[in-house]
Amino acid sequence: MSIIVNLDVVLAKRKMTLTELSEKIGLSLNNLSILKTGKARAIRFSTLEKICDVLECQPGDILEYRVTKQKEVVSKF
Amino acid sequence: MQNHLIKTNRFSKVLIGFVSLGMLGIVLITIRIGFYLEIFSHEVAIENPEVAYMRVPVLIISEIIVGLFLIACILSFGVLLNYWKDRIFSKSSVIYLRIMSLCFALIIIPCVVLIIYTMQNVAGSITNLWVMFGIVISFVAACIFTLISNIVEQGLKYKEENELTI
Repeated sequence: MSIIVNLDVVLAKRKMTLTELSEKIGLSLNNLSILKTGKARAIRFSTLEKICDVLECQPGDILEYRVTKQKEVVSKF
Repeated sequence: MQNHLIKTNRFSKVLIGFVSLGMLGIVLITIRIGFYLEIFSHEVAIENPEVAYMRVPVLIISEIIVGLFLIACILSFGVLLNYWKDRIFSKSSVIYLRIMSLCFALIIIPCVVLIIYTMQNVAGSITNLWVMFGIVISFVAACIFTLISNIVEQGLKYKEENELTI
């Protein structure tokens, strides 16, 4: 997937654990793990808002778009 | 809240119970027919000695048909159990339904063989009309179960999509 979730990076910068974040935003640890490991298919605006609120960051700090190798090859041709 | 939405209601559970009982009856009758076919073939062979040589091939073909139908009926319990346990949208349900559809599709093959075999040996047999009727029923059943399995598979995709939305 071209969308990379940098939640672990932001958490490390804030010196916060995933468990603490899950308690603060009221989301299960399991769901947050799915998000952190990049297995999630979609994220709700409400969830993103809560995460940004607690971590005091922008959505762009958590989500990043990277061009995949396959797309790079296609664009070169 | 999502779990509450996908839970099977009581009325459906009662219906599942009735359908399961009906299916159990059908399975028992089918097994009985399977055993009775052997006796019946002997009776027919005694009454019609001119076609006695057809007894074993026709019996084998008939048992194959009964066996395939029985497999489909037994697998329906798996689907009903999944529905009872609120997990109808699961891979196992799709697999069960696909195999059931395949069983009904496969029934057509021995039916066609039976028609050809009867046509070659007995002139003007009315058995073929019943077998043709069976082919039509099997084809329709195979199509219906394929459609249901596709619906469940699509539902499974929606469920996974929903579960992976954080």
